[in-house]
Amino acid sequence: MKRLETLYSEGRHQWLVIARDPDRPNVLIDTNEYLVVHGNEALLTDPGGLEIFPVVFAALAAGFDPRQVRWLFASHQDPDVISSLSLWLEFNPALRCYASQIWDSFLPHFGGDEHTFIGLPDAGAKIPLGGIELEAVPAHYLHSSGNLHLYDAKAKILFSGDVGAALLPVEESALFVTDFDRHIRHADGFHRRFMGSREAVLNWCERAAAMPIDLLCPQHGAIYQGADVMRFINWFSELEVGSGLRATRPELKQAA
Amino acid sequence: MNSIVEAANLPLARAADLHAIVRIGEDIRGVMGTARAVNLAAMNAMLASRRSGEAAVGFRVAALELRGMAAGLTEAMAGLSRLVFGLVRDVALRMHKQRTHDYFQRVENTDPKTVAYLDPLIARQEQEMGQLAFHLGQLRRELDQVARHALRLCDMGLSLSRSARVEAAYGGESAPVLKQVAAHQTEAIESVAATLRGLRLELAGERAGART
Repeated sequence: MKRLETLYSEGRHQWLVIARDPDRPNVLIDTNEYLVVHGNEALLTDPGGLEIFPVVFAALAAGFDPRQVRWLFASHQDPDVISSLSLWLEFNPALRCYASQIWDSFLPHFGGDEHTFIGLPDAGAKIPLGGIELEAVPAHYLHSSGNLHLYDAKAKILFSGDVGAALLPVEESALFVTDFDRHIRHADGFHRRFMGSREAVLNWCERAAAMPIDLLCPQHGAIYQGADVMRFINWFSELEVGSGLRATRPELKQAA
Repeated sequence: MNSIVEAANLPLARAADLHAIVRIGEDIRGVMGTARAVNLAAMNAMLASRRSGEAAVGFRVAALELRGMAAGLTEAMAGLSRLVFGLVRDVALRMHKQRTHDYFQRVENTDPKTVAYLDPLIARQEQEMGQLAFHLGQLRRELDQVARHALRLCDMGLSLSRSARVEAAYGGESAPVLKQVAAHQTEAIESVAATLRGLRLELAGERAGART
């Protein structure tokens, strides 16, 4: 079963993570759902797919009152990110969901209506939560064409969606990265294939390097902390991405 | 297909079920801390009685019994918490299955030609939901039993804390402290018992809701 764990807690401000489900079917990629709490309001990032709703909801309710979740944040439109939307809305029809505005007419295929979605502009936006502000940070084309991350300046935490994601073997499923070089092997293939553009990578790395970040929290795999955050940014900035194109065009492969 | 649902008397999965069980979970989480406090207060009572020497022998005996009761109560609350975790997961699962079932039902209602393809599928979904509803019924009954057991422990705890208050009067110069410990204990147990009674009422309401 998934478990709810506290990542950060100071006064009324908290970050919790719902992670690691050893019982999930192998065919489903494991996901991390982050709960940002300030006072009596909470926002849940990338709440996950329809199939994992029961385990995510149960893990959440074991340590937190789910009625306090007022907002969902979808980094992008993928099914593992937000296809559980209809069930969350069934539990609380007043829930509102932040996502890039380019998905305004796509996401309702998962559920919701014109009152559900708050379309975020390409440049990003401030997101109010219980009296403080979080920041939706642009990360377009990493890997989705309408992609946003969520930065919390108070906790110095960046929720980075698929950036930083790693497909970890069961025996290396610790919640935090402890050996960067060993860990990054599990992120390498994913980033080369799923990230489409060097320009987008450099744009993100420049932006991320300028932010004070204690924890870099991806949607899949382990969380980067401390010096590993900058190690990851440096690693990513030098990575050749778009491997799918190279596979179909041998001349690009040779040139690289 | 609706007639099959009615014939099988399957409860429809509703978000209201999930709300009810979430409320129960919150009640239990709220009372877990109090149950731990009862345990701690029982230990404090024992220590206080030791300091009072022979004068507090009666209080010590009551405090010892209270401590055993408090350990049982903490264990029962942990058991309740585990059961609620399973209930939340399974109610959410039933909601998921109900939703999928509703999609196919809508297809069938829209185009009668699909009945031949979809009837077996819908029947299987209803069977699965029926099994899940049965399992949920068992879990609810188990939850009620554990809550009833915890309430009995609370009743016993209240008798013991009353005895401790009586014995505290013979505690010599420590009597005021011992009385305070016993009073605190009574208050904490009453609070746990009130929550447990509310929880049983909520469970009864939820069971009635699931039958409609």
